[in-house]
Amino acid sequence: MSPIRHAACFLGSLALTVSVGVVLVSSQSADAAAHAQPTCTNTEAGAISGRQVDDYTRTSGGTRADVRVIVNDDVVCQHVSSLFVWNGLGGAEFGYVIGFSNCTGYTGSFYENAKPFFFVRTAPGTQEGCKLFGGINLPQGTYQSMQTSDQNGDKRWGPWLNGEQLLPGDQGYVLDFNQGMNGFGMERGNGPDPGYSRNNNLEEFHNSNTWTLWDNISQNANSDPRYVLKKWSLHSGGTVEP
Amino acid sequence: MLKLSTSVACGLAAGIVVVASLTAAGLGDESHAGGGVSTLDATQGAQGSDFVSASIDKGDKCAGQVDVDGIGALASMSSARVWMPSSKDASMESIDAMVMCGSSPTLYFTSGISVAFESGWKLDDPKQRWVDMADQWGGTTSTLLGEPAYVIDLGDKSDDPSVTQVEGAEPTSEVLVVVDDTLIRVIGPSIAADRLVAVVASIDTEAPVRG
Repeated sequence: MSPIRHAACFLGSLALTVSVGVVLVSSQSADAAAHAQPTCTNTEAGAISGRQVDDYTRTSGGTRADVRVIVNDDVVCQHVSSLFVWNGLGGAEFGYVIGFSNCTGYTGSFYENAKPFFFVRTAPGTQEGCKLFGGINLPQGTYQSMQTSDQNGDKRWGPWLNGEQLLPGDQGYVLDFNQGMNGFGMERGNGPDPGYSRNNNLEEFHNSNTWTLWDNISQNANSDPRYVLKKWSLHSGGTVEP
Repeated sequence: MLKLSTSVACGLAAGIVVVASLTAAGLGDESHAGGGVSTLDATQGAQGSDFVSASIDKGDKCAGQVDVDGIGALASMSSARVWMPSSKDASMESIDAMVMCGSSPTLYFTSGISVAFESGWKLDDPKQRWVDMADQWGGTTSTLLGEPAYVIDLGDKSDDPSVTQVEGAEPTSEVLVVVDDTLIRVIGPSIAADRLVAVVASIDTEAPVRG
């Protein structure tokens, strides 16, 4: 079993009473540089995602968090930090990208400033839609309140940034689900690209029109040899460990 | 303040080794990943997708799968109503698996067709809903079980410029219809939509499965 696999298992073994945040940090692997890719055509130098798993989460109508925009001058291909609601093979994702975007209509340009994007995929996992908000620059080193939801129950999913609905009215995506599982993720495009990602105050939206903090966090997947998932207490400021 | 409580038991010793190495680095340095190679050709742009799917455990049908023993038990685990189809492609005799996928009771049949049920779908104007769905993703509207329905056949596409086909995804048909406030979602990878329509049409909405 790999160290990372152990780390995921370790996170699942917690039995604590804390408020938590999530951060993805470098494992400082000695052989990291040796895995660098020669071009930007491979966007999956690494990705880590986590999810909330409990009976309530599976009926979530939205996810939100205070997402850290990394202080970064090092992106050569891509860095993505994002939030999800998953259903089947589909989902609704809101996050930001630095570097090259994969959004249809926005590929081929390198974005030095963090740009919000909204990405959806239908439940069978066969079609997807994406919109990038090129007119918005998210300042480095700030926390941005990001939310993906169908909060008003009109079955149109959309992104919210610092309380502002970015796709109001009929601009949101009509999807074939109205609830799902909460998640968050980090992706980086190439070897040197930073994977640091940080989410504070992860919350979920309930059918009862309330937002509550996530109460269980576990790793969903980790394909990155250099980064691991860590949780920490917002009360103590320390990492959550057994 | 919230409570974390799970009962997973696993190799804590090795886990602590990983965490110990991280503890020395605190929560990490967000401006540097520890690499340093910067001789890349970044002119080609990123390929693929920014989407990270929920992982599906080996042998499972869906993310977060909960196995269920019996159709009655399945019906009792969700506020969504559950119906058993009785068509050539989907019936009690051709069940492959009965599981909870997230909050959705889901039936998998040996034909490859799956039928999922999702609660909370009270629609003011279901017909308009499916018109919007067809505008967004392609497909057509229809009437099934006496209700407006949405049908998308293999390869159907919309004119929405922001919508694309997922690279490498198997062409899949889908039928959606809402009965009361329960969405019935029928999915068929590489299966023509008319076979899914037949599955839906075989449902007796007056006879939901009793949980």
